[in-house]
Amino acid sequence: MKTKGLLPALAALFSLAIVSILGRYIVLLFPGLDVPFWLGFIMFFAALESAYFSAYYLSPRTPFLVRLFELVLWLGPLYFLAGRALDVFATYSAFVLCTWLMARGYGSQLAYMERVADYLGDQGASTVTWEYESLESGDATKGSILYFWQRLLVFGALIALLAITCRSTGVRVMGGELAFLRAMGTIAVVSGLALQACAYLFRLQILWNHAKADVNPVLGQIWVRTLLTLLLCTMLVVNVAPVDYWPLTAARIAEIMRGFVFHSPDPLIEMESSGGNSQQEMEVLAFSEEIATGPWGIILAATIFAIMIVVGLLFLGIIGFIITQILGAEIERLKGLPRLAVQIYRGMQSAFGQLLHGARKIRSYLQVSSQRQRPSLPGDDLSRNPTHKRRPLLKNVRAMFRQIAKEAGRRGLYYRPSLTVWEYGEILHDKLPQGKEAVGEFFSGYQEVRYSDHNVTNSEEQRLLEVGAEIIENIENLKGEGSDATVNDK
Amino acid sequence: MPQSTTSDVAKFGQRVTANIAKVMVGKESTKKLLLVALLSEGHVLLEDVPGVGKTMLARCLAASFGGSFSRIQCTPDLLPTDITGLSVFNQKEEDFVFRPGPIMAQIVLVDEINRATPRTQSSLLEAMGEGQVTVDGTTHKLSRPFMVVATQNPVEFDGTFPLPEAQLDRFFLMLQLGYPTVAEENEILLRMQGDHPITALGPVTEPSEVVKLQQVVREVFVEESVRDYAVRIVQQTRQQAQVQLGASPRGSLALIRAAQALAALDNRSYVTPDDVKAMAIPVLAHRLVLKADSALRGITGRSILGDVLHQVAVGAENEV
Repeated sequence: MKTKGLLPALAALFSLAIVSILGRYIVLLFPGLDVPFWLGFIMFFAALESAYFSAYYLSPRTPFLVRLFELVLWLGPLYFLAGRALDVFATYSAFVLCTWLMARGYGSQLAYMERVADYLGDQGASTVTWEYESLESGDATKGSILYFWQRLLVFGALIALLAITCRSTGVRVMGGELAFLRAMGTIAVVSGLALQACAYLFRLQILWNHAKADVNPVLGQIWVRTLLTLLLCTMLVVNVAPVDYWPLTAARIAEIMRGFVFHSPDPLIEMESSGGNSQQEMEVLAFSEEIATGPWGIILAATIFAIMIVVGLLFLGIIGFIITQILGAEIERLKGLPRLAVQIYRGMQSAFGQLLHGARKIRSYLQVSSQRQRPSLPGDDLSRNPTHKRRPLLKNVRAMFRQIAKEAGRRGLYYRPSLTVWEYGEILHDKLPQGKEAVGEFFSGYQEVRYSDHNVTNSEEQRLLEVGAEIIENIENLKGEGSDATVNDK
Repeated sequence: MPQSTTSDVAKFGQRVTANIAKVMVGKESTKKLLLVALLSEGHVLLEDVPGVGKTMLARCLAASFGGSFSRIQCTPDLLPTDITGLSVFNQKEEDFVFRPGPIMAQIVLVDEINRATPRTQSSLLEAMGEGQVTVDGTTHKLSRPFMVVATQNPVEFDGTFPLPEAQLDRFFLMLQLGYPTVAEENEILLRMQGDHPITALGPVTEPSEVVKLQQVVREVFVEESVRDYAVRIVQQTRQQAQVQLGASPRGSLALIRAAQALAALDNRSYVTPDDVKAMAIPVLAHRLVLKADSALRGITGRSILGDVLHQVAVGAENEV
């Protein structure tokens, strides 16, 4: 397995980068400490040795003496390189030991992962197909992947904490220090992500191997190519991104809000365009503090919180989209964060669909309203119906029906969409004290002109309109008589 | 020869209904629906408790109809060849000769169909679906009009075999008679005092007339919105939570055809949404396959169709 050969090297690189960044921040916070440049090489080689040794040779049966010899191999020369000064040696050895132990941890996990067959037993073959089930059923194997992932997050958080501490204590990182931190940060992110991705591939390879699965070698090449593309993008982002790690800082949002409220140009933008000066910068910071402590503070905090939530949801939605595209029908097996991401994506998809549907409904409502506002064109809105193209006189009869239904609706005799016209006619027939014949004539006439292929003549149309007008009159009389016609459905 | 019209269909309906009414008391809507099935070239399943006149209704229709009639009394040991017919060896001619089964008639009464085994029930499928029977590789066309009127008793389970969904879907209508009212039952007792009136029942129509009227029904005009209403009803049956399988496209076809026949029997040359609504339950209810829990809760295809008809907009005038 080629992946296993690469993983210890990545682990060593990651360990070196993390300990170097942590060390640099500690040095910045405690200026008395000194970490020479060459110590980095010793840390790297110590990490490399530790990772490979633990991945390939170390086992629970390895004698303690061998481990001791390994430590002495690195710490012995270090003692002499530190000039036999115990305090300096203690500092140097602390850094080397941290790197060495970190790398050892990764190496041990790789060896541990290879023993997956012992944990999966006879179910190994089926778990290849059902990868997620295997993650669920074997806690030990799940732990290995989580081990890599959790360390990536914990170290990231630790570095962020130290960076914030440095910033808040007024330590300014500049020049060579900044370049070093950026370089190490890039190495840490890239090697960390590569380590995580390769560990997952390694785990898959173990399972494939155990199940004797015939896997297309092109798959591995695609994996590496995709990983390299992703890492390249990450490198670019890490180096292009501002030092604050987040473009929307409190000061920045305060300035944007100030621009909205007072309609004045953004001083930060002005500063950038004019090269900036300390007085302007101080004004901006003072204004930011004023906003943060004043009544705007709550709104500012709420705005930042809302933006964070929206961005977080968007991010998860994008992840959900990617997972949905890759996994297809297998997404029902997801658990935890990936499942949440997929659910958020589906929720967003559904919300977007509803939004579009609502927009369409509003548009059609507006169109209908504008058509209704046009005078002297009864039934014009029905002109798209092919029946009406064939029988233009029908639209007036239909308009008359709608007028009857509208008038009757005002008296509680509503026309429900699930009622047929004839059923509605029967309701009117029962409820109207007068003009029952007119109701019968109009509704049977309506049915004929509406549903048959018979062409309605002018005289027939005129007659139906007259009868319709009579029905409306009777409905209005019903109102005058104060009838209790409140039945609205059959 | 003058062209038949919907008024001829209406007259035919009145004639046959009046003839059946000499024997069958009440059940006017069921008689009309039976004619709807005949005019739509469909088959009918009469399902009800014993003794309410299922077999009698089918016999009355057959007697009113001048064509050939046969009856199959289903039992568990009935074989498919007992229905379709079989080839027997004629020793005189030294060859196999096809002896037609009772299916080779124009009106076939299949009594207590759920007592036949599924294999025997399935032997009806080809005849009902395609109007032909294949025996020993030879296809025999059935004469038109052809109608199967099957009866079944829904309360007995011992020694019965429920009809498979595929066969139920081939029944154009499923009708229920229900118990007669007090007045109707009194009238029945009065009529049966002497000879059974069915013995005096003569034909009032002939097969060629029925075939012509079936053609008239096919030509009844269906407006676009009415057709759309029928389709939406069928679509809605597929959306119901209690339903495992909604009505099939065959159900849509049957619904429109039944509405056409109903319109023609009412002497109309066009179909209205009321026709579709009236035919929805008899045509579609038996085609729904309910979920097991729905059936256990006593939900029926009829009740679901009732809900569907309340949910689906007729679409006559949406903008009121």
